[in-house]
Amino acid sequence: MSPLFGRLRGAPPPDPAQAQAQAQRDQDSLERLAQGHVPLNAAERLATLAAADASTLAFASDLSVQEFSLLHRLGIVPVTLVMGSSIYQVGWQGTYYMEPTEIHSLSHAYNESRRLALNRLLEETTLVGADAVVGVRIEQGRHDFASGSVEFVAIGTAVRLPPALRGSDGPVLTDLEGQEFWQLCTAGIRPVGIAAHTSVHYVPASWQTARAMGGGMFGGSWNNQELGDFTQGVYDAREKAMTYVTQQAHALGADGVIGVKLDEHASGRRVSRGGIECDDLIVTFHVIGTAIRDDPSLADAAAAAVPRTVLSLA
Amino acid sequence: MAYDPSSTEGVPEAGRARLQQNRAGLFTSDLSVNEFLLVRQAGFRPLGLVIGSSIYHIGFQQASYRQNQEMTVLSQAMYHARELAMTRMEEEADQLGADGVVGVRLDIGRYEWGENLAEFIAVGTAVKHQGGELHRAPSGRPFTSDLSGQEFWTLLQTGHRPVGMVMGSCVYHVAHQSMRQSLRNVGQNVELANYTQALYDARELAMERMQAEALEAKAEGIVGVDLHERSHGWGSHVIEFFAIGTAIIPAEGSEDHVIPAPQPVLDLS
Repeated sequence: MSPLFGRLRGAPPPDPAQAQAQAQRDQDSLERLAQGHVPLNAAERLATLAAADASTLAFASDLSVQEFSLLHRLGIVPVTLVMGSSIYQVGWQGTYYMEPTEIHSLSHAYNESRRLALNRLLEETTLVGADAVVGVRIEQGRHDFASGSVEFVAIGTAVRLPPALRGSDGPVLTDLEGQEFWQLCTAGIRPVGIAAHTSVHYVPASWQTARAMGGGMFGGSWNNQELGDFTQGVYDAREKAMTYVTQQAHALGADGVIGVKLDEHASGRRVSRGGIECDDLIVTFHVIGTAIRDDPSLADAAAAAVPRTVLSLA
Repeated sequence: MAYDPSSTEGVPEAGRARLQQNRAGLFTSDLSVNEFLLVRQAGFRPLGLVIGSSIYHIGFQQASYRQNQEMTVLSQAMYHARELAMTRMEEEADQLGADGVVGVRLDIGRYEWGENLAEFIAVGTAVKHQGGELHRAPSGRPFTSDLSGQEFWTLLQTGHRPVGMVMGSCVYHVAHQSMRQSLRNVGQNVELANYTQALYDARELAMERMQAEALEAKAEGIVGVDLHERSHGWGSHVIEFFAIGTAIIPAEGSEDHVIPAPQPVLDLS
């Protein structure tokens, strides 16, 4: 147990034996991380929580009061905050490419970082003996001390589900809020997991595009025209990400994916190709959603009432 | 800082006069109209804005360049300063005879005139139950919560009540990569395990401390935890993880409490 600063006592005096033990623990944690697991401190805290009697322990949750009260009604019990995180270094990438192509080092870094973070979130949930995670926030971190790296952080509340809601294949991750989780359950739909993918594509400007954009000796074009190659590039990136997401959802045995968040970033890169200055396109697509499956046994007819329309006077 | 409900230490003349006016029946609050009506519906009336503040000089600690470590001096400073501000606010609330404080905001102010200074401010609205039911925390202090009026009302409907804000703080130094590590990783797609571990460690410490505080307060659980990472100008490698939430306990006589079924609504505006 760490000291409670200011409340109980001051900081403990440094002790060489303790420092040595700490160094050993840090080393063990690094090895665990290399294998994709959560560090020692986290694993131990969760194990104590799992072993202890639920009634004697305080739960921690990032649920709002509204979410808490809805879940409480369904008999869903919060256990603790769980989290998964991974900082990933992006490897070498080409300065520019001559052919439309996926920038694999970037896509891979995003996907691996997110996969590791979500796996750790799942591992923490399993360790604490919970059945699902709700209210998950998945954010991309950015740190001054690790430029050129990507980070995903997933924080949510691990919950124990009543037997009726519990799935058969272990804990379930969702990126749903408590309200959404509640609505799905009462409507007879079971969330089965998170499906996500990122693809980063590089599209070099074709001769025609470069001319239309007004570079170099040819001057700009006055015509309205579609930049076919760029449109194609955006399509390629999006289709690739969506295809992977669909595949993951299939693998989870889902009927569909809801609450899909599509996040597109496009940036230009100025290059000189054959004496023509032009802007190539780098397009990044992040796709994430919760895979769901129909399960009529969950449905609660009373709760799935027709919404009443209200007019807010605020 | 020891809790002393009668202490008005540091409260200026005007502040004492204000507390006196509040005691006489005039209330001030930063509740919105909706919040005010809901708090009243829940059986409480506002007594006055209560404030606790502390301007704190944050000490110095040398981090070793290549080591992941907690900056205990800094952690302790952040903890202690917030504790001072919160306790002073609780004392003010106690002097108004409040059961608790809702809508607490805990802010940190930084000023140009003091490089290592930070001001910690806690502001909230003190409330008292109209029927005289006691809603204080088991420790006898007024409860504190960062819940809005709406959330406060909803929480009471679920048969729970707030006991106090609990927090955990950890200031952490993230080790620089060694030359060997950076060379080994150059051009590679790899996880930066030592960075991941550092951030994990810092969050774990903050969360563990928050949970320990909740246990101390004999709470059933914590809702609305806000976990965030901030840098307070100690350089890019030193960051603070701060977790704060409201600890809750079941209200007396709520064992057979039934939460009414919610009615879905569609907002037409």
